[in-house]
Amino acid sequence: MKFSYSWLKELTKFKHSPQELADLIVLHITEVESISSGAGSYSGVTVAEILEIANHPNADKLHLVTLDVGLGKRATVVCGAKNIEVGQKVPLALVGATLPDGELKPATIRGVESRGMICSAAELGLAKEAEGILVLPKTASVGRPVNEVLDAANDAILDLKILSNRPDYLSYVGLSREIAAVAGIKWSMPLELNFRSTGGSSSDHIGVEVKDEALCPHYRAHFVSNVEVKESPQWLKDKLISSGLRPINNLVDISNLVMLETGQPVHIFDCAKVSGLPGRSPTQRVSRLGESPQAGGKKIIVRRAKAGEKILTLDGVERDLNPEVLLIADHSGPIALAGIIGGESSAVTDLTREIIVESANFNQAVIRRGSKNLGLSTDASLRFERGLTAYLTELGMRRTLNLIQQVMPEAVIAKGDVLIGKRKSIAPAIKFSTRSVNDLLSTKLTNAQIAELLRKLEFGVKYAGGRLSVSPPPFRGDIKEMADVAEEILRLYGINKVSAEMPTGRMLAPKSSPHLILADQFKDYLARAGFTETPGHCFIGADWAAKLGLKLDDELKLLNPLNSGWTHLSGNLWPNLLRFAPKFGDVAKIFEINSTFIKSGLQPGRHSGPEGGVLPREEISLAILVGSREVDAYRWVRGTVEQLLSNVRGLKFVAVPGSDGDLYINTSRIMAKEIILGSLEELSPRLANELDLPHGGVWAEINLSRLAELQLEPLKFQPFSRFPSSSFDLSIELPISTSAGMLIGDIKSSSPLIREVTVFDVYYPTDSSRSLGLRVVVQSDERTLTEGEIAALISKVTDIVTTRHRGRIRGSESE
Amino acid sequence: MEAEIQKIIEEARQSIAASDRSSLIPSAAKFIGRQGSLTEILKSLGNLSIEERKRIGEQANQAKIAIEAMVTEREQKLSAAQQKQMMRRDVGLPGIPPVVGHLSPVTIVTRELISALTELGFEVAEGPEVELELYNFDMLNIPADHPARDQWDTFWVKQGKDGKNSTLLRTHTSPVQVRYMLQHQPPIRIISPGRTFRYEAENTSHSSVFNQFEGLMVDKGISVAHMKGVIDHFVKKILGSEVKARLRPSFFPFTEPSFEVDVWFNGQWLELMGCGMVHPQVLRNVNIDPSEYSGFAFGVGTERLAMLKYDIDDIRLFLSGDPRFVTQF
Repeated sequence: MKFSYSWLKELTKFKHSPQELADLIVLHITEVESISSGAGSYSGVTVAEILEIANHPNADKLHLVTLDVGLGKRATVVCGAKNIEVGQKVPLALVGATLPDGELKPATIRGVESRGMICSAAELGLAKEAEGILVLPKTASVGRPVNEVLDAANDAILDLKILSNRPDYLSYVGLSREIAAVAGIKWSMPLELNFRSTGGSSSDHIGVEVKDEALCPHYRAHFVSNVEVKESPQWLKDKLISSGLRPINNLVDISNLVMLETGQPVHIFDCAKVSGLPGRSPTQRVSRLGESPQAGGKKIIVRRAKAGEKILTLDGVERDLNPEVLLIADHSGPIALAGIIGGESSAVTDLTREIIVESANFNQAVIRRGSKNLGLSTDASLRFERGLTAYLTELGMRRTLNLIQQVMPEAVIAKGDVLIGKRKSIAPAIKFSTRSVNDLLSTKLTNAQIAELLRKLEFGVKYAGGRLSVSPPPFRGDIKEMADVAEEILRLYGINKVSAEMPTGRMLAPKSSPHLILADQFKDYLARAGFTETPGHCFIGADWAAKLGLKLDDELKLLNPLNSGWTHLSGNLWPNLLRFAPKFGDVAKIFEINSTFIKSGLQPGRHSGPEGGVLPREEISLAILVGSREVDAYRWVRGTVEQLLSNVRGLKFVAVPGSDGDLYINTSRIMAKEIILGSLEELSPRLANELDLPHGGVWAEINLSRLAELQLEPLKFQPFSRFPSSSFDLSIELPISTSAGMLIGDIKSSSPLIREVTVFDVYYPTDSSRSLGLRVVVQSDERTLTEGEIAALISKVTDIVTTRHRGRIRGSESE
Repeated sequence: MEAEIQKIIEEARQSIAASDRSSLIPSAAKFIGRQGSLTEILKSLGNLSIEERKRIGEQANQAKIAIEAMVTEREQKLSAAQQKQMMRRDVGLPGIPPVVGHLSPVTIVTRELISALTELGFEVAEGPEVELELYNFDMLNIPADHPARDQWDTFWVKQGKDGKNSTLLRTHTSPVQVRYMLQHQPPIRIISPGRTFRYEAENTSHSSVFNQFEGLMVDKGISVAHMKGVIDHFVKKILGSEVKARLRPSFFPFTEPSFEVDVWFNGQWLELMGCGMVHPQVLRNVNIDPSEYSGFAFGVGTERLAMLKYDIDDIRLFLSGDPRFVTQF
């Protein structure tokens, strides 16, 4: 809420500068989101002097006005106002200035470009309507900001964050009381509350029925006649403007002012528009002054709306109602949405002569539900949903009647409120020991100190039987137990007077979960191996899914997605990596480790706990993606997976047969014996092309949650042979139907002397064959291998290639 | 013989003079190697008379010494030339960086936070990202129909019949604390790093998907001073030992008193995180007796901290997959 510094000063009599006040508020009360000078919600508007007025070439009613804007500069703008004269000082907004309706943009008006606007009071947000431009005093200096000239000139506006448990901060009285307490200033209610009742009794004119007192614990109504609706006096308008509200008319302005001052929303009905009891004479009880022959038998009913009821609210919207919404109704139907907004049918107009003032307390949850239900949040609902106390209804009513009498002395105020609800609700005292509060806060306060601090905020404090007994003030609904009181004590005492201290406690050995350790190790390994972590949003939508040929049926749907691209939670990470890959150009090596969501898992989710089955399965997943112009991405991804999973027992890659039109090709299941850990796939050239990946793309995704459940081979040092190794290369031609992986496996297992088989070259001479360059490293732990032994190994390997795998040796070389 | 030796010397002179670093040793070997032409002559000396053996032997040895000297000289010359060549290097040329990958700044900062708190005996606790409304809100003293919920705009996954079974994307990692406290009695010291979600339009300071890092300590006699001690410790660890922190009043439904932590950074107070003493109602909700135990909790936005630390001005960069961003860390 925006607070005027000078208004607060008037109520609290502090000597602090705006910045000093802001510092005080930040440290003891609430966050100051901004301090700004000037009242209006405009900026960049400066004082200019009219030098020349010429006719617009294409429009009779428009003028081209040339102004001195200061520093020897001039500007010419189009203006349609009638009250302009040469020599006037006026507020000028040039392109780039900010007005309440937004930033000023250049405009072409009837063929002439205008790069500025001479403003009216309305355009500056200082009045609801204005005739012509705002003329500034002659003394205003050209080129200076307009807010220096206007009345609110020396004011500062503090925008405070309103905590959701402190509706009293949404009022000048509430905030000034807090400021006085923290600044050490004596405070008493600064508002005038007295008024003279000269009319009959309010209850002669109005009846009130509350259907459910739990929803409306307190309802006050007061009858006032002989009112005249017109523009408010300037002081009243200024107050509203300084808090960002637009003046409307005296009655509406009074109700708004009371809300700002006391925090209690009050509403004023045009009494003539509230219907009387059906079947009764409208003049059943005539007011004593007889000014109001129609009045009498008016009845206000507080009830839930019925399905099908409608109301036209003051913002001009017709709203369909339902039982979630609490209503103020009369016998003919809804006349206002309780605690939210008034209805058009009962609104005050220029013709209004008699009014009903409402000051009521509504259940906070019901107002919030209604406000959410209708999608309508107002200054009133904002206050009610934070939990106002019923105490405020009396304050709000008395202040409203006092102001009515100040602003329109001719008004006749009836005697007594019509009141439904208990007069006072006394909150029970909170009892605790001084030690317990000092222990919690790390303070050494005495009873007397605590009492002194709390009394500044109007708490009642007693000390009896070794315990403090604290009674919260009637305007505080948020104080329920010792912790709440402790916060008040600490705020006033000074949070930063408590010095930091390290806790002492029993040593605990922190546990950590296997999948987190794995995720951490994998992240480090991948970064060392040149992969970059690119986490993304975990959402997916129809467009991207369609592009990747995925169905969203198995993905978890959000009830309220932010946009059509983010409607579901993704069950895999790789679709997101494919989004990012094209940004990396010639070499994309990226990865993500994060949670994935499976709508219908066969296994229970790992977090489902006692509510099993309610939550979806969540798994930690790893996806890596390579797209590269220079290397064989497929083997690179596979090599990375082999390294990451090198301690998995029985790791194997099982090829999944594909067919010609597949979007994803060369699919391999990554398995640990019979357990599927993940998948390795390659984009079809068609899809790669569509995704703007000219070098293709290969990805692997591994389920780390499942991996973490496996018994992994611990890392052990392998002693190495003292004898030299030898190697020989074979150039082999292998039919396309034969797996090189199987061949290499066979070669490796054919002799304990064969230590390593690596592929150093692959190419495809024809469609049905493939050439492989294999390097075989042989070594013994007991001796240097002789040339004869090596030759025997060569022929053994040759035999495996030619007979078992039907390959052909194109050449060999040993070294 | 003598003519032959002269011829060898001459051939060697030309051959060595023409050789480069790699051919120098093989060229010399042609003459003085194991099977070199001069070596052959020396081997054949046995067939000669003593007189001749002495003379030719002398000449051949002289020739060998001469060729060896030629090799040495050539070697020096080549080295000198190579050094001259190498010294033409522009030492001002920029280095060639090794090709390594990069971790997300969120990973880096999360690790720093975990290390700063595990060294105080805090344990990493986890919970689901799709969470029950019960744990995300109700048990944390955030009732439905309370404006406090406005602080947490929510993505809903499933609306349960009675409300309690509704599921949502967790709006903070605090439900992890609830789950942990339901299963453990004090002493409790946990941290819960993790991904969280808010239903809000994205801009430079808001992301609908982001990370949080929360801490919880519950034990006998835990006070505001202990909370300050722990927060000071990790703020200094992450942002530097010269960084000052201050507390100011705030409101969270699950802590009372509640505070906001500001840090004095780059010449101004910047809002960093929320914290407070665990609300007695939250302790009662998880069957911990608030008259016996007290505790504190804190929560910081991991991206927010990373933004302060690295001067990042747009939170949307974290999930952008933009190589210009991700390769800087």
